[in-house]
Amino acid sequence: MSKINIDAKNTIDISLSNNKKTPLLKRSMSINVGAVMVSIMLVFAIFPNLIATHNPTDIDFGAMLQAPSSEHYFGTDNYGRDIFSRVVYSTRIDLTIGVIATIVPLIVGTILGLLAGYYGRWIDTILMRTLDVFMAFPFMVLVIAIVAVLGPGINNVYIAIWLVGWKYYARLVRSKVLVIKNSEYIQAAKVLGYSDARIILRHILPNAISSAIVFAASDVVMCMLAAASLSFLGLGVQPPTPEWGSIIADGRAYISTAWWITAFPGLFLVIAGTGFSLFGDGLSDLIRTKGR
Amino acid sequence: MVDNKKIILEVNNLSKFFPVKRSVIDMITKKPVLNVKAVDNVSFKVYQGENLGLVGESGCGKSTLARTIIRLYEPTAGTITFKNKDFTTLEANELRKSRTDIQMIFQDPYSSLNPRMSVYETLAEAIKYHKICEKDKIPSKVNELMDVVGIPRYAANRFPGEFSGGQRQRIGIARALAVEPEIILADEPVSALDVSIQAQIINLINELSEKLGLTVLFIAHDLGVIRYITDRVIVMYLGKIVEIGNTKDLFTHPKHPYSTILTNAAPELDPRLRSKEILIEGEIPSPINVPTGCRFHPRCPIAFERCKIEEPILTEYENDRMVACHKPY
Amino acid sequence: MKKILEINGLVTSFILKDETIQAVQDVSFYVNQGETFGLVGESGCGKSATCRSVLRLIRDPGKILNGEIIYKGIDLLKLTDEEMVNYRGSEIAMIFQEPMTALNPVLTIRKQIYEALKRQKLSKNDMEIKAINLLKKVGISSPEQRLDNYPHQFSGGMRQRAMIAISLASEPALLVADEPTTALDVTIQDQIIKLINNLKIEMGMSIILVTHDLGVVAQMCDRVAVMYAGKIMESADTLTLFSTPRHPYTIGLMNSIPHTDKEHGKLIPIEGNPPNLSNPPIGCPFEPRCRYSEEICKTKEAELIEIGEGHKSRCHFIDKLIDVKGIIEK
Repeated sequence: MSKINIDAKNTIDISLSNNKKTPLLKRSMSINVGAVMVSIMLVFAIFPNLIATHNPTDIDFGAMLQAPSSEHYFGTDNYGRDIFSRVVYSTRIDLTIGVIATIVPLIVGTILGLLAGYYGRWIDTILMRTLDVFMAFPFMVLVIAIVAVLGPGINNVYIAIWLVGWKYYARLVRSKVLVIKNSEYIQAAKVLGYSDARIILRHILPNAISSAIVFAASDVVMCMLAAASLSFLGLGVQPPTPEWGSIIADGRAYISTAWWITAFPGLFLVIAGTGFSLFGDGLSDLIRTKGR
Repeated sequence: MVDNKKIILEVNNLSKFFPVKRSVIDMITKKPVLNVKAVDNVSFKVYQGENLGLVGESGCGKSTLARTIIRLYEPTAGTITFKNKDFTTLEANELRKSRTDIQMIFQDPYSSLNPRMSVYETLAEAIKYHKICEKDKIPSKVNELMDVVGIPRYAANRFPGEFSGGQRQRIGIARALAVEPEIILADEPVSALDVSIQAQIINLINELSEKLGLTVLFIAHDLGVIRYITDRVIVMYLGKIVEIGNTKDLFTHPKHPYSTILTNAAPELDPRLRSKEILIEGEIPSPINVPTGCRFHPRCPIAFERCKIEEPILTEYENDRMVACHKPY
Repeated sequence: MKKILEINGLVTSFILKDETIQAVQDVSFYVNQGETFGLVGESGCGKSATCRSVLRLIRDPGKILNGEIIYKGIDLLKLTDEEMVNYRGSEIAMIFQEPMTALNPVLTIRKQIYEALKRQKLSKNDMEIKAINLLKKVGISSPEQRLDNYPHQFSGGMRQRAMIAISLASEPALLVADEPTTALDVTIQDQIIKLINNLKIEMGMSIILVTHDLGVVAQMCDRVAVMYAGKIMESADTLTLFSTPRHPYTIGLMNSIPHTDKEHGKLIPIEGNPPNLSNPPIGCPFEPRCRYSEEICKTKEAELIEIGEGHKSRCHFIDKLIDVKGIIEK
């Protein structure tokens, strides 16, 4: 091929149709707000010892059920434990639960979705029918049932969420793959003789994963809520480890006299949830404008 | 044109049927399996270095034929022989190696490039995968390819989204050339482009086939493009070949009534040549229920009794012309 | 001849978040009673935006910023939305490129024709007779049965015929046809071209035809305007344009069409790509791709001036083009 030499007149001028690049972060307001909220949570989760004013598990019967004050910002509970410190320390546990509970289904679901979408036939049939079974039950019902069978404890919460969570990712990725599989660049890759592994990993995965990642950002919230709910029911994190759900459960009995025990962890749950949701929303905005 | 006619690719009795999806009720009531006969018993030869056109209206099976030849679809029946080697029975591994012999250019420049790979990555991947050259020479090979198709070198790290349709089509051509194929199947490579850009790409393909000695199977529905770029042409109708011949002869003296109509159907570029007469009535029948006898007989202006019963065979006439008609012009 | 439609200084833009696309920039033309006027150009040249502006079908973020659209003496741009409804579909009808998306998939053809006939306040019986006649007129066989079919039961060519029947139901005086044959096969295109040509004469309609195909222009139009980058570059009667084109872009387009074999007419493509309409060049928009351009073209755009009877061109160097022959010779 090096012998040939084609006239330079064929060379064309590349004028970019979209050469004005707006800074990515300017394009989506929700990602900014979401990112700020998530990073506050991250700071709490990483350095709880610097922020907390007390040891979260220290019992002080001299300071039971105190209202918020300069000594105890969020008040104390029925054991005299500092709510502020407990809430701050909970952040680490809740975020970890959210992330770990999300990442495994994301990976497993994506792999299954890729295989089912790309190969179709019996792989697809088996996967989709299994999925239908899982889809038939509401998320929480199934998670609670599994934890109830396995027994309470944080590890069993993970297992339960993993067993249930993959279905969303598998379905999302599969539907994307079905579209991408028929596009001409995949046909071109087949004509070039690339192996299935290369086609799936290099050509399909990068184009199919974006929506799954966006979903994962908001799924973190779902998992955190699920874990908090399980702890509230006494099936999740065991006392005395501080966790938002279990703190709320502890304060249940005092809701009319000591509202602060339940209100502040609830507020944090809301902030974390809103933060991740906005972040996920913004992420999907960005991906959509990029795909234009 | 080719002087020494060496056959590079031979297609024999090739068929590709797609079964129509059946419902559970169809299966219970034992309805027969229906097939879309996209390509039905097609045979032809491709000579080394020629530009062979494949023309027909939508649903005639030209795209399916190309995709079956390149084995994106598995043929239902028949053989494809490439350089005396049976391409139809190649095992996955051998087929992968043979991919460097036949390449394809696609129709839609907006979906034929991976949006998340830069020009360099797209081209280098093909070169690396088939070990076309040594590793350290890949960058210069990519540059060479970009020069050949007229994409400036400084654009190597840009992504498909930053290029216009015509530029993307050039990148698609470069990708096909990256593995140094002998045959290129071009499936409607210009039909998605604007007229002025279309002419750029036609000239590019023409130039490349001449300078690189490529054999090109050029698929199009636009008669003007086919007439301009090809040496020989195959006319298809409803999954069958109705006529094969030298482009010049076929356009000046079409023998099959369908070729006659097709070559006259494109709107004349002269406002003084307006006619009120409609060339052909009716529309193309569904390929699930093909008419008996000659498939063209319901629309044919000169059909007679025999055409309804007996299917005409593609027979050879003078000058390498082959026609499937009981009463050719 | 009586002018049925006159457009003066039409400006239509699409105002997006971070850019404004000037789709139609100061376009003026007129359509005579009973003639077919062609708007020809490549994708993004503003031909579709122009014809949609006529019907005021420009949706957000698009806006008609300036100009007059005078239909039978009335400026359509000054009408209220309610008044405009009386024109749209009854006085001025439109047919589209892709009939499948223009027809309602959940209504039978009968219902869709009846809807178009609603304003005529006919009895049920008369409506049926009229609907059958319409389908006959556009060449749909056994119209009595076809009337109760849904659009998906029709083939591509039949759908286009059905859409034409619906648009003709109200006997419009002006038909706007946006690429009516582009999605069709050549043999079907031939049928539709001839159908529209015949209907025009039969019903005494005027037509604005939008197309990218010079062949369709040659077969259908009486007069034609060539658009590029939102502007009219050249306009003339069809025969004049095809025999003596006087704008480099028109000439470039004609040289780009493959219509014979290599030996007889080498293709001379227009190099480069059309300009970005959110940031159009200061001078002539065609200058970067023009083989006749000189310094002045970069800074100053030529006016659209009359160079012959009914023949206008927007070029500084018409003298250079005096010997250029068109795709046909007179």
